[in-house]
Amino acid sequence: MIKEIVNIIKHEMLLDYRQKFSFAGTVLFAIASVFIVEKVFQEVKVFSWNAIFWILFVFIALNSMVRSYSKMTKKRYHYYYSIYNPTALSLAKIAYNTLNLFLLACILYFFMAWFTIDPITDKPLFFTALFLGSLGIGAMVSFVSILSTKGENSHTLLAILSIPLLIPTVLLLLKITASASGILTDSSMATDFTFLIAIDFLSIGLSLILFPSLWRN
Amino acid sequence: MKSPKFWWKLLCIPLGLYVLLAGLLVPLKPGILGIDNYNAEVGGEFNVNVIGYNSNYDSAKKLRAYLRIDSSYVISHKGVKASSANDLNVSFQIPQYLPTQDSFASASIILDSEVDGPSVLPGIIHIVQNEIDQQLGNDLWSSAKFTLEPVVKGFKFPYRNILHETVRNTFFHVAIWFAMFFLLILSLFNSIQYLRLRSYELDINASSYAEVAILFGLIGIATGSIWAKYAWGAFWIADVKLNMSAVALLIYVAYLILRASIQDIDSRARLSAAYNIFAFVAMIPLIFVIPRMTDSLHPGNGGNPALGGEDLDNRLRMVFYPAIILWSIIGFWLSSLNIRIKNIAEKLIAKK
Repeated sequence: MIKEIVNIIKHEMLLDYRQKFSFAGTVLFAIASVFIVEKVFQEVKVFSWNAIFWILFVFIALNSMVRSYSKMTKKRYHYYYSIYNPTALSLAKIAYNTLNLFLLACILYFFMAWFTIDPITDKPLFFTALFLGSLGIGAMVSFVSILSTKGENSHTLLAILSIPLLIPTVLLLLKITASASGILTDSSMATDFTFLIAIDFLSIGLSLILFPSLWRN
Repeated sequence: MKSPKFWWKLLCIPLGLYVLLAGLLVPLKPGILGIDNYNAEVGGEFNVNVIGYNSNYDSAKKLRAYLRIDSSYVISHKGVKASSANDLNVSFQIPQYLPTQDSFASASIILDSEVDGPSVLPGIIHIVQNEIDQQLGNDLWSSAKFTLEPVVKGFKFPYRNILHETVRNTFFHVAIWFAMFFLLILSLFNSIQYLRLRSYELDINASSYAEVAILFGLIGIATGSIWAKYAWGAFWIADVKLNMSAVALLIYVAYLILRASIQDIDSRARLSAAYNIFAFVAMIPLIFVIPRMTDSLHPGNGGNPALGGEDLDNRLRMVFYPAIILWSIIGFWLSSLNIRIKNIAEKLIAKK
């Protein structure tokens, strides 16, 4: 099982490496957005920095995730279906998407800090939240992207289906980032993290349970 | 005689009449609407006009008024004079010291008569003292138990400060949300069964229940909004429970959009069943967990009581529980009509 997961991740990496422009396009999208933010806001306040960061992150995540299943051609779909176990495939997809999103989040943070300001004082806290957020968002969006690729106009459908699902996660992340940048003293940090981890596990668990029934076509 | 299959639909008529008539016509118990003087000083006479609601001050023979601090220290009135059924003038002689360590205390005003029964306006009068002596204060304010008249006879709803007559919305706002959950659970059950059995009828059931549940959710938000305008002062406030309910509704509206965007019947049924399960599970922390952990004005959250304790009086319950049954039956009925319409539409399409 683990070997299978590692194999799929390697395979995905190879495919993404071959289609470098796709990942590079998302990074360019991030840089362009940050540049617009810098031009529009002139001077970014800490509170707005947090809000802008997470809004940009959600849109970058959607932009990047829409590739996750839609890039699968019919032939590759049959190939995966014949050799991989659906649980392993969905776990591998979640793991790969999480790493992908975490990388994108770090890139976004780097450019936000470079062009505007770097308000984060508690770096370990921020990166933990970033990772847990990538995990939750990655799991939810990869689940929803399977649904949306079957419909018409899949890009819009992905946004419509996943943004309401992402709101609680984003609100928690916003609160944690606010305390990591020192504008909020959070007395219930442990509860927030418990919620975040609970939402992560909930979405991973549900994807694992529901993926096999979606997978068969 | 065989009872008809649709007996539960007939049940709606008496139940609906009962909920509407009892819910809207049963009067509230007497209460205090407001007072005109909020500040008192120690050692002086405190004179206040009380405006009552549904009260009978002029016909009461044994009308008494009390000032109470910390639910144990009480002084009795010096004089009461009723000018009409809802207007009363009360005067108190405030003692020289207060039973507290602070320089001020908040006192509740309590009225009691053999006609109306007791009524309270809590913590509204602000009493200031210059010198502090708690021991003397404790002695001056009697801590002896005082007896209140037994609650008046007759079927009446409790009088709640701030809520007043809007307490009747419990039978609509709260009961409709209960019915919505009942329908969502039916929809979830049908979706799970669909993924197991792959019968197309189950998909039609699941979507019909979800559609009526969304309708009930919208009605619940509308009735709640009107209630909020009265109790909190605005149709919509930035409150965690309200936000999360709106998000939950958005998730379910997304379910409808997902269904509309897939043409193939089989994959529509499969994908929307999976999304329905995901949506229901995602909704539970949204509505039941997160609001309980943070501060909120909405009952049932942030330490506020909801349906327990004092909030739901036995007489409210006598209408509230039938109201839940009524709205659930109406929701079930609407869904069954929806299911029949969809089945007929399917048959017509198949004929072509």
